[in-house]
Amino acid sequence: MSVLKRNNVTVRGKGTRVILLAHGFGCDQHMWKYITPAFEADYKIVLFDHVGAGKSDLSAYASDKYTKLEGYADDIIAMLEALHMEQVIFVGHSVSAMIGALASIKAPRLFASLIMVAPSPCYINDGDYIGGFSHTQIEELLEALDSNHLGWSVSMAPVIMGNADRPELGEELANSFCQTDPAIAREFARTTFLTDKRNILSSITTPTLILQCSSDVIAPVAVGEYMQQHIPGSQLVVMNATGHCPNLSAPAETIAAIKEFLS
Amino acid sequence: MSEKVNMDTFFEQSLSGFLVTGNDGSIIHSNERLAQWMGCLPVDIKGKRFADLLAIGGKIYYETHLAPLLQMQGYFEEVMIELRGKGDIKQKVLVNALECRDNDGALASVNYTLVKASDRLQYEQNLQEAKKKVETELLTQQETVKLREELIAVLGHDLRNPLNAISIAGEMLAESPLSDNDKMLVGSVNRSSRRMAELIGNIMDFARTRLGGGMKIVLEHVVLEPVLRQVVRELQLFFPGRKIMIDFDITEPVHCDPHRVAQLLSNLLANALTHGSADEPVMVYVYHREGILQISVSNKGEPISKELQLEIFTPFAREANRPSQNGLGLGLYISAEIARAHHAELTCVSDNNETSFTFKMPAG
Repeated sequence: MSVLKRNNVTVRGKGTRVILLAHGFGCDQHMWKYITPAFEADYKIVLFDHVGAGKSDLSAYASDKYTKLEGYADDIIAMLEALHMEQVIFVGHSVSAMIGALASIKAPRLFASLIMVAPSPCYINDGDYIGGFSHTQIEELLEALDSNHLGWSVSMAPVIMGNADRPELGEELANSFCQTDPAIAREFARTTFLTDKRNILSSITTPTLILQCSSDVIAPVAVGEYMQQHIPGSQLVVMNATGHCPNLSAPAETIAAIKEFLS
Repeated sequence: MSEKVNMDTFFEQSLSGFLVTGNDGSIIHSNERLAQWMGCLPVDIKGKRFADLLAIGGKIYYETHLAPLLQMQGYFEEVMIELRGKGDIKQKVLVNALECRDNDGALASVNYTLVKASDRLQYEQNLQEAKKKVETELLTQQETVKLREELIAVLGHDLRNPLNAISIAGEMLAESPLSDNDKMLVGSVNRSSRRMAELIGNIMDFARTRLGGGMKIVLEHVVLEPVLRQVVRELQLFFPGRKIMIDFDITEPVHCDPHRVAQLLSNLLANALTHGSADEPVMVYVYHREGILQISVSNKGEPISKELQLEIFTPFAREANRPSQNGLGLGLYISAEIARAHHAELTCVSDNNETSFTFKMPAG
């Protein structure tokens, strides 16, 4: 299977410069739908689903590859090579920000800039470092993941009832969310929240913009400040937007910040 | 009482938790029920975000799954999540959330409705456990059944060799000069070993059919009449005192497995001779006409009870009050399997007049 099919890659928009948008944990490429219209006239837009998410090829999921962020980073490089694209503007949400950073360190010529939306190099507090979660909390999270008492897939209604008779969930969006395989989602959560990639920040050579929300449970502002200090020449913008998904909750502010950085 | 008072009462005095967040996601209102679940007062919750009310797993689930869904779809429904209040109070709830937008389409508020889910969770866990238990039991039973059928297959196979030795010795003895009494004894040995070979064959067919998912047949274009006449001749030898009347009208070759069709006729005819009235003839009627091959075997005598007729083609079926005279009750099951493999039907009609089994197969 081709990389482009495996990752459900879609290309749209005009222009010679390329923006590649990478969704974070729990979502798929639909999460960019309020952002892309603002760039379609001037840029070529590349969207995709990480393996295990959305309409990617679930059979391509392999635990040994995807329990490391490097596995996802290699996919990004493979996609850009398959598309013969270089010097792209990479926009990564949440965990995909670090995935993009890893890819940019491995293949710098492919990337013109990195735009990190609500990123975090490490979610766990460690000494002076504030990641947002204590060890106890992460342990509780891992336990919750193991006992699977959280949905993690969209088992919106309890498993026993099933969703088959819920026509309103048959929409494109809910469908794509439902396509999260619970076992994969659990592994991706584990991979994401146990990640500690603070040591790679200083190796990033691609110009970087960090977009942090002002009240984000998953990636607090302190994390953005830490990243700004450790990524050479990076810019930090703390937005008014709250929550973890400014691309959905405050698309206008997010678009403005990206355009400002690109101009 | 004004309508306003009613609505306030409804909001506060409810078994459901209500909560409203503003356009920045912070909590503007929440009712006493929700505060009670959180182990605090409504004022303590004000200004927080919905995710702040949840345990760590729920927080992340909310921020990575539910909030995006809410923002893209405008609502989410029936999501089970755990509230985590003061002093680690836990409460499982079902949450519905709806975005409200102003006239310009800007987000005005999000209305959350929460319903306690402990009983339902318990119910669900009970169902899950019951399901698991049944699945385990089923698996054990399936394994037992499989083991039993494998045992039958192996046993059947191993019985064949000593029986072959008996049959060969019996046939050789029959050709030696013998006293009349010995001839009778040898005849009895030979009849019994033939019958036993048949029973073992049935057992092995049964096991193979059950283990291998249906009977395997080898189709060929064959002139069937001599094959079927041979079956009748053989059985006539074993039931020398009985009258078997045959009516054959089959000239064209038929597409079928001749050994299996012969086995079917042999089973039906042996049954008729064994269970039918000893004073009256058994009828074998075979015709091939208008694309249909039909084989019927009829006998007179006691009819098969209505109850047994219903399950006559299932394994080990026999008259409950009539002990086995001659067999395991597998012959008709195997005959039915032979019919099924030929896309044919095998039916039974039994009344005071006669008992008749009919095999009907589309045969081009």
